[in-house]
Amino acid sequence: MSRDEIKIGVYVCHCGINIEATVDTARVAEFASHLPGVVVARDYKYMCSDPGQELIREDMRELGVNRVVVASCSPRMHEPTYRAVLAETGGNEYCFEMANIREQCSWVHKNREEGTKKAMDLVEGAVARAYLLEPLEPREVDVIPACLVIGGGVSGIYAALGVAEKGFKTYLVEKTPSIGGHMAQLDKTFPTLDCSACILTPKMVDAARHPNIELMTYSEVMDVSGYVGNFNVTIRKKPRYIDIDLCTGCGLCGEACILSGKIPNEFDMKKGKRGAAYVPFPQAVPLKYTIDPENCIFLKKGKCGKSPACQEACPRDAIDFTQREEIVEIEVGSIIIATGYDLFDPSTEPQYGYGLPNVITGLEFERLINASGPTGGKVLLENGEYPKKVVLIQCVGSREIGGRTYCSRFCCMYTAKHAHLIEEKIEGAEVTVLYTDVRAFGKGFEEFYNRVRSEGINYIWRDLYAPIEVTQNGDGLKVKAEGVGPIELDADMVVLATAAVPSRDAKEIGSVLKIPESPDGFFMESHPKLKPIDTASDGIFLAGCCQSPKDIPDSVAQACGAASRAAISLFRGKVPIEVISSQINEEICSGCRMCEEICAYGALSFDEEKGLMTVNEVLCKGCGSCASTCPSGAITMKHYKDAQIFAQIEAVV
Amino acid sequence: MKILVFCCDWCSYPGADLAGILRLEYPSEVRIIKVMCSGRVDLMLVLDALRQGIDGVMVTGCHPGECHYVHGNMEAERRIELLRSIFERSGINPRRVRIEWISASEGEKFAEVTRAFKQEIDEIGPINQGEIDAAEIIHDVFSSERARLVLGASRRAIELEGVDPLWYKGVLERTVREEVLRERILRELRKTGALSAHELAERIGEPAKEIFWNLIAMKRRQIILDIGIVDDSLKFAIQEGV
Ligand SMILES: Cc1cc2nc3c(=O)[nH]c(=O)nc-3n(C[C@H](O)[C@H](O)[C@H](O)COP(=O)(O)OP(=O)(O)OC[C@H]3O[C@@H](n4cnc5c(N)ncnc54)[C@H](O)[C@@H]3O)c2cc1C
Ligand code: SF4
Ligand code: SF4
Repeated sequence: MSRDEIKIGVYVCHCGINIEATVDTARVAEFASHLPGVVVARDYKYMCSDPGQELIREDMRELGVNRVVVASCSPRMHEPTYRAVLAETGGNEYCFEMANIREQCSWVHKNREEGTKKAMDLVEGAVARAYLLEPLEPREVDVIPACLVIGGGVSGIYAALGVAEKGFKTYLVEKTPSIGGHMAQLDKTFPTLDCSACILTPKMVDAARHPNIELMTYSEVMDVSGYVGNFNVTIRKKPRYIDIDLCTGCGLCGEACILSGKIPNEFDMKKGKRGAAYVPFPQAVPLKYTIDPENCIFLKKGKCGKSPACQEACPRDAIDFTQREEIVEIEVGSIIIATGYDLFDPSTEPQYGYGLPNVITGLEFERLINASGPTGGKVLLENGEYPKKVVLIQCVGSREIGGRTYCSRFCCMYTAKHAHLIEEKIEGAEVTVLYTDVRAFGKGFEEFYNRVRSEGINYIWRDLYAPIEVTQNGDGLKVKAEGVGPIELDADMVVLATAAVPSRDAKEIGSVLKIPESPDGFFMESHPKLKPIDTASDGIFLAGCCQSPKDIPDSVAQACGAASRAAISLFRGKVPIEVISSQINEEICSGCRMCEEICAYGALSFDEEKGLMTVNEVLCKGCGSCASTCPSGAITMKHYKDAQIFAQIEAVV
Repeated sequence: MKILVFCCDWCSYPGADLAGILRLEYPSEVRIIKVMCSGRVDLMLVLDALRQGIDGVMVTGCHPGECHYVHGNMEAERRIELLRSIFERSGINPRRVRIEWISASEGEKFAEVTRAFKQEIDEIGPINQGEIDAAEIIHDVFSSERARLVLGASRRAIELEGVDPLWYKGVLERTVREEVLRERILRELRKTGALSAHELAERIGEPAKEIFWNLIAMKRRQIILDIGIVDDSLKFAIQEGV
């Protein structure tokens, strides 16, 4: 395309008032209309809307516009939208540039004059760049038809089943010895009060049996590289010291272990005991034993009695103390994160009295009330008696000023559930709930809450921002708080509805996958309304509580959505890859090979015959590091040529 | 005042977007240029900005170990550090360039570092003509192959061949300093015709001994020639066709 044929159209978006409030878009458009190469400049309320896009199409058809500059939001938002407009209308999608006058201007500056001036500069930069842009041809590569799901809670299980049922190989990686997550720890589930294990266990088994699912428990994702369609994943399988192909889950080792019944079981919130050879709970999937290296005497000291009791007990000779961790590499086309949540540790806020006898958390309560839990479903005080006065405190660690400002979303309802269960199981128990607001937003929630209240549960409003104190009072406990007036309650048991917090692995997983977190520490979705399942990285999706606290129905819904989103590229079989690549000018290349090691992808290789470098454009990711290294200036980056960047710099300031 | 911020496509650009989404105010002087990777930021781009009179240039990229392109950010860091140490000796305030790591989730950090950078530039004041001239010279030096070659080889030398990074940095700095000096000598000769080492030393403000040594090296490379003794001193002039 020769320079005199360049016809640039500039479109300045109001984004409702998002931009217009701080930027005089009409003035910006008028300014742009005088820039070199510009044949038309308009401002419009919503450029991304259909009529907005139509403006571009019309100008392309009628005025012969062949370069487009849209001044609106971040290119991360709508660049694909506008590129598609160009492609559909017979233009080249790379002859397009955005000026980000929303995120970089109207949202971060207040003064309208300043904002307008800056927007003009940004548009000028974009026009200067657009003037020099060159048409490029899109490229595609094959997609690896497999998916990785990280985290085997209810969300991960549903996500994995969803992808597997669509016919794709799915790896389900769970860091603990069993899948199930928090839901496996629960007793009944609000609002319908169906038994958690009864509805979850069959799904756990389905996941384990599904021919397309490869379960990798007691494993962690160490590293992920690549991009949508072609991720390389490194997984660490921790040694169980038990050959899971031989183990039948009979449990003889667990019984024989000389530490049997001595180690607090994490699954039971340390309210029950296990041995060093253990399964976290009887319905664990896979039902395979694990030897815990932190406690096992043989693994710690190299000796356990004459010979380890577990080894002697195992009829299948499955115990293997020589096992080492195994590093496995897999390749997948898409990834779903379902790493769930953890709970806030109430001992960090001593006013709640956690640590005093009979002050427990909601999750501990779930284990106690559960028929297959450590007490066989009996909620007992430490002295072995049934509690008579129970106080349930909501919003422990949630909705703070500063700190965790968010609502944990499921505590209101599980507290109502707990109140109901106490009322039902312990005759004559007096139950009081200290609440601040009851958020019964879900389907059937309000009805459930009303039902619980009508059962004679005492709901007392407390001021969340006034002091609260749980203290020892003789054999019992005393709760002091403030509500309409001062609140003072005697209790023999206090249950704390502790905040859901980001999984303790979230930071690490986030950095391995390069997924940003929201200010609350949960993973950030790509768009809070329109892309609630996608992340900022193509091909990586979110399911369940890793994105924000949510109950089981919402987790499952998001998981099914994630499975569908993750399967799209697998179905398509091809994904577009980076068009931007380096090119070597053979006339200039001196063959010095400086660029060779700079490239992290081995895209540059030396042609011995010619004595020059050559680029493999499929391997090249387009970073441009080689171009800024080449001493001879022999390397040009498509779409980021020196001249294109220089022109933008010059125009933008 | 003008501040240029290079952002990479993967971390700092979305980081800047997040600052917007969170409505965090930062100085309106900030102008962002997007590149795919901080490793794309050729020193020529930075120098070109400064010689145009831009008061501060900040390169931003993914945190160490998190570069989308593995180690592009480390290349960028190496270059920017070198540039700063060259600036220290060339009359350009090294605080005019800096490098920062900003992840896609660090909207707040983006706002903070741009605010801090603006404050820093406020403190040191707008770029002056001396600095612009010096940037121009260093720019020309980095268009030459010698300086770029030594810079380009740094990854191979330090990371693959285990050369002591400090020593290598010394070599780099010395090379560039020499090239800068030679460039200044050329400019003087171009302006005035023939000059002696002493005359050049006076004009440039560097020791005559060092100038003389460089004149010899330049003569050997046939960039200049000596035209013999005039007024009791050996004079040099630019070789024709240079
Ligand atoms: C006390 C209590 C009672 C509740 N009661 C109800 C109720 O009655 N009804 C209801 O609808 N909801 C209830 N909930 C909420 C319910 O627990 C959640 O909705 C549900 O567990 C969310 O599932 P998830 O899979 O997203 O997360 P999780 O259950 O947290 O599962 C995450 C899984 O990922 C694994 N994981 C974490 N990090 C990694 C990693 N790096 N690598 C591999 N694996 C990893 C974890 O080990 C875990 O197995 C309750 C919550 C609490 C605390
Ligand atoms: S660095 Fe430049 S000159 Fe050297 S081999 Fe690579 S392309 Fe050729
Ligand atoms: S642009 Fe980046 S990925 Fe492509 S050849 Fe150069 S260094 Fe390698």
